Amino acid sequence: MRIGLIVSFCLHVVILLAAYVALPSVDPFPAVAEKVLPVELVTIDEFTNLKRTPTPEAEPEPVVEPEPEEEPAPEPVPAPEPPAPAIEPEAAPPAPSAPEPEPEPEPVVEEKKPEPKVEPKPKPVKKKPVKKAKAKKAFDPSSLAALLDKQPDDKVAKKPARSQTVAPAAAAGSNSEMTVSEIDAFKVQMRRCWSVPAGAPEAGRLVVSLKVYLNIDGSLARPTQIVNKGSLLSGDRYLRAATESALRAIDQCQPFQMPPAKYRSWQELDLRFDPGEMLGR
Amino acid sequence: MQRVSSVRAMSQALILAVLVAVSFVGPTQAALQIDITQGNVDPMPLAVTDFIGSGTQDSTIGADIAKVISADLERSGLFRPLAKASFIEKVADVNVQPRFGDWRVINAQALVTGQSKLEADGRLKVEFRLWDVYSESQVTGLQFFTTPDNWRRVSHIIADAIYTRLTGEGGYFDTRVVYVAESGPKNRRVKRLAIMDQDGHNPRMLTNGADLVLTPRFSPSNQEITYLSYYGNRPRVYLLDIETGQQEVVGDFPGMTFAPRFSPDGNKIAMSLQRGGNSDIYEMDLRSRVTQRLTNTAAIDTAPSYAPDGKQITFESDRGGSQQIYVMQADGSNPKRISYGDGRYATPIWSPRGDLIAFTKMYKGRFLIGVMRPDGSGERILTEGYHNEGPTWSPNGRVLTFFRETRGEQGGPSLWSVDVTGYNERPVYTPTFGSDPAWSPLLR
Repeated sequence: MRIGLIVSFCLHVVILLAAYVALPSVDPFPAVAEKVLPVELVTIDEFTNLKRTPTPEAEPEPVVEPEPEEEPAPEPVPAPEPPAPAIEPEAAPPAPSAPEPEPEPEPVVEEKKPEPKVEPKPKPVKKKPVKKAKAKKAFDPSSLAALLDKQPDDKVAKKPARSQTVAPAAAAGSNSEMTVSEIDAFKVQMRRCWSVPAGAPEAGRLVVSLKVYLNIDGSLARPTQIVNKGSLLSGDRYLRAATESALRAIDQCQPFQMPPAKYRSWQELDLRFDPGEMLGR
Repeated sequence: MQRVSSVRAMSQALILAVLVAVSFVGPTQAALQIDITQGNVDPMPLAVTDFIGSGTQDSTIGADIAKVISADLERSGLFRPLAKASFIEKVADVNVQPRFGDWRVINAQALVTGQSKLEADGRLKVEFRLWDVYSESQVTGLQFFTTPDNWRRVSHIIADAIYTRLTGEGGYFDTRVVYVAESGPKNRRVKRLAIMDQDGHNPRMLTNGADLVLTPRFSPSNQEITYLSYYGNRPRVYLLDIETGQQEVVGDFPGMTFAPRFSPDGNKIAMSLQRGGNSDIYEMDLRSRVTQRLTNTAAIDTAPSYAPDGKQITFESDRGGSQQIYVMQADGSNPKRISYGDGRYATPIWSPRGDLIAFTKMYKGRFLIGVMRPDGSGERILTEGYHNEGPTWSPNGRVLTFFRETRGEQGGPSLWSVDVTGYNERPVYTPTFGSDPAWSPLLR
């Protein structure tokens, strides 16, 4: 009974030891490589700088469009806008006196105090186009100015844009994984430094695997390790030259530009240099 | 007693627990895996310093050696020797480790230093070291003794050593090219056999121009050339020993023989023999003079070229209706067509590396030079133009030299080289018009 227990225990120990020694070196199944790819959501306004113009403009547009040509002059009108915020408080009281332009303020709706801002605009506009006051006013400051005039646009549009885009970006940042575009940025850095072993026979087999350890500033923390050292010992001159070219690329390229916030995910990199795709073999 | 056993049981349980825990601790967190599949094919920047000499004569030779090495490496298209004016460190002693930081600043990835010295016995001693600037280590270093007038060859040998170490493949700088030098007006060209270093230096004529010569081919094993010459209006295949100048007819066939080429061991020649409008491929053993017929068809079979292992032969034939490339066993069995693209294919030449077959292709009135794998796949055109012809491989199978003819009364053939990747096409200087180049093996 006792002997059986000891034997059983010993066997278990042996199995566990064997597992401990052998399992870590077992190659993972290729399927494991499937990873969740963090994706950055970037809204287009960041790039186009176009202000979102709310609905009301729809009606006036067809009618008014021909006229704007005469009114490029009024466009500078929005210029007074920048000082507007300063004046806002004082201007606020007269607001009720000019209730007509109410539809226009909408573009600025996202701002906390849209009404005061709008007032300066209507005033100058009123003077000139007395007849069609409503339609023109509705159009000018909002859509045209929004589309053409950069200055006020920037100020008004940027804030909401930022508040919209920051959210997804922050969400991605909270994830410590590198995003696809960050990995791509790293690849671009390597592309500049890596001289592909072009022209070697069967260049597709000259795959070099390296383990790179980085500091948070992107510089090398330790000498780079050659993972496929075994195949290097075979004395293949081409593979040796390919390995050296990969090592040189890393030495030359560092320090790498990496997102410091995600240091944990890139402090250790397994790089696989594969010239096959580029050389079509 | 009971206590002892309970202690033992506890310790056993503890060990077990530790082992179990340990066995489940995997290796450290998996590192981020990134596949780098894109790099650049820009030439590698490297610095070749003037070789240090003790006297003024030594240092002149030293500077010349550095110049030849730089030129060789630059011409390969794989290296970009940096301008000497940009060098920060002046290497004064070849046995002292250079200041690698100074070389990194100018972006040199490798550094070549060396010295040349005239020994008391009149010999020239040349030594060099190749350094990896980023890993700060010497990767190779050699020294040579030679006669002073042989400095150019030593330079080529050093360039080969550097090339081999950095690319992994054999060099080709210490080689020669034999070609047909053409002079005189277009309708009365004098064609002579000429030979020069692969960089165009040391040209010399091998024949006097009295008889027309065509298609010279270098022996892969020794300094022998086989070529076609018209003697008494009858084209025959000849063999010429470059060193002794000895010349002989290969075989005594009733018809005309042409398109000769050596086997990889240099002991056999395959060529075409024409009889009554039909040509077939024959092989002749140069030692026993025994000939063997390899093809037997009613079509024109010509331009045989051996695989580097000597087991197969590629040739061109119109047996299928148009001129195409075929591959057969060295004994002539099992011929198989490998070219299936548009146009006609001619003069296939097997790469010394064995991985590619180069050819001349005629398509839509243009002459293209390209390569394909021995099974016919992966066809790539390396260069094209009005008239490109006669590709020949460098001994490492990395570069092709061919000739390109220009139009017009004043036009004529000139030699060009192109990399097997299709990049780095450049002219090879010859004093006269030149055609039909053939690359020698590495000199020994």
